[in-house]
Amino acid sequence: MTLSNGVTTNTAGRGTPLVVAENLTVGYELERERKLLTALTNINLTVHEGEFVVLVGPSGCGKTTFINAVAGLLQPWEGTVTYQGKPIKGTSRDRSMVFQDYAVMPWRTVEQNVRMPFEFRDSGLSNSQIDERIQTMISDVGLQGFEHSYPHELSGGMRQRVGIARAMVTQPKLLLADEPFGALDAMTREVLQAQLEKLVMNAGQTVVFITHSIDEAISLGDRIAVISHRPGTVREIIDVNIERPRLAEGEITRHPEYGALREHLWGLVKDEALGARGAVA
Amino acid sequence: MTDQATPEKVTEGAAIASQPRLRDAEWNWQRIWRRARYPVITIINLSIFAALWQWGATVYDNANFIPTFSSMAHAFKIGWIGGGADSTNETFDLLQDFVIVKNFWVTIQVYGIGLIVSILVGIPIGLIMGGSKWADAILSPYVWTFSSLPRIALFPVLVLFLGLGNEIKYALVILTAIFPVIINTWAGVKTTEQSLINAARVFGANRRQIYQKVVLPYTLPFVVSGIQLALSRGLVGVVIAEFLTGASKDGGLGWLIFRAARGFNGALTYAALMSLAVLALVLVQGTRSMEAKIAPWRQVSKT
Ligand SMILES: Nc1ncnc2c1ncn2[C@@H]1O[C@H](COP(=O)(O)OP(=O)(O)OP(=O)(O)O)[C@@H](O)[C@H]1O
Ligand SMILES: [Mg+2]
Repeated sequence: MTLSNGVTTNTAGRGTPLVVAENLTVGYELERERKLLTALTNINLTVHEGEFVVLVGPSGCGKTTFINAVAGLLQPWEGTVTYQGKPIKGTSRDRSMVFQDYAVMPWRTVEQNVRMPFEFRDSGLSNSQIDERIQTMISDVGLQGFEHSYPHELSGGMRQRVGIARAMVTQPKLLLADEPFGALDAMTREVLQAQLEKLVMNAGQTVVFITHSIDEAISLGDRIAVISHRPGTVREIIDVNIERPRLAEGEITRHPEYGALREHLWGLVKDEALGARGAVA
Repeated sequence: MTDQATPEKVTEGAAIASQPRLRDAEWNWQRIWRRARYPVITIINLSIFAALWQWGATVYDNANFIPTFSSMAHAFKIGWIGGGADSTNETFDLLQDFVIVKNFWVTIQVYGIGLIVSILVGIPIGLIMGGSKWADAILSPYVWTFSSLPRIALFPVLVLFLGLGNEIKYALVILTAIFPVIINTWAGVKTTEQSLINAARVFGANRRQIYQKVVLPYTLPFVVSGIQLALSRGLVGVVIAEFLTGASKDGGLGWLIFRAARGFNGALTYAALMSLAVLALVLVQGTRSMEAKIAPWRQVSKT
């Protein structure tokens, strides 16, 4: 186990850098109050090809903002964020996203929602291939039989799975997942976590993943970036050197390194959460 | 699926088999009642109302003010009952048969065309105002001023320009009906959830596609509510316009109500009023089911 303090980590042995954020500062224009709100400041973070990076941090620290910038939905105020060496100017078929608030279209059925990514971009697949992809994806997230249901007929967790299926159906190079399993029951979550891990191991899927669960962060992440309270910056990056598969083998919590890792991470997150409430300067 | 609770007393196979059938039957009766109860209650309710009215009318015994139902039904067919109809200088011969139906048709035409114009013009204006900051800045002072102004106050001015013909009726219907359409459409575009737009962007939608595939569907239920409002406001507009112009031209239900009441013809007044009430009711109920059909997702999330 390596607990590398500071923002600079030893990147030797990792894949080629896919996403590089350098001194990234970004925020929002508050139109009503006519002022700017800095959500993230001076973010330095590199996501390598095939890597699973988890972001944790207190609510409102800017995690969603970060992946929005990587998706191309927000432009940096200062610094840069690049994808394969080029500054991110807009959205791309390479970068897909699971939204924290699901963002499924209420007027579309499950099937139509999952089909959405194919409507706006040419995937190079034939119609029958697309249909098959969609069908497989819907089964993978356990929604078979609900293809023709509308979101308002689904539970919150089911809607979230629609969002997951929609993001993954195009097999994007980079998956940006904003608390994708937050609304799921423990069983479904474990199944989907294991599926995701399999995808990471077999297909070398690159993932940036946000979670509030420390256990989920350790179970899934190659590296965990702890973001400080707002304006967020990378407080510490933690390597998780527990061999995969972590989830198929059963209890990752019994791994000898697990306890110390969890304790360290918990300390950091608690510290930042208290900081966000003003208890710590 | 199979009967978990197999009662000891039942020994015959036939008895077990008949049980689900019996339950089905019960369930069907319940279902029929559940579906029918509101119409049944309404029918009973209205019958009691009608009986009370009929009784009150007989006791009060002044057909000019409170006519009996039977005389209303009579008036519906033969129009003017009794004296006081001066057919000279009137738009409609009040003594002719089905005068209500003929005036009803006049009203429907003005109202229908006025509404269609309001909808066809109001929706694009609302969409443009919602979609473009410039259009919003330029148009919104007019829209908000007109929509807050009691439209009837414009009548004297409109008379100067349009006279007392059909034009002023159309103008009044459009002026009352178009603003709810514009404002609701605008509100729909403005409140489209950012996360839905973001999702469309992430999956590759361009500006036009975002508008087509996110903003428009999101706005649709708002438009429907706008049309609902327009229907009721426009009806007020047309009736008032007929009150004010009818004597000189073309008639209409509003004019007929006004004229009949002035002539103390209670039966005809109430018969015309009821035709108007039925029209309004049909429209409101019709648009309700339209909303449920067009935007089912919104209907359920509201309850
Ligand atoms: N659309 C927006 N307009 C203005 N301010 C925003 C917007 N979105 C987020 N913010 C602000 O930016 C800050 C960071 O928000 P962000 O959504 O990135 O937090 P987060 O880390 O994802 O929090 P959570 O864990 O609660 O999802 C917050 O303080 C929030 O107030
Ligand atoms: Mg968030």
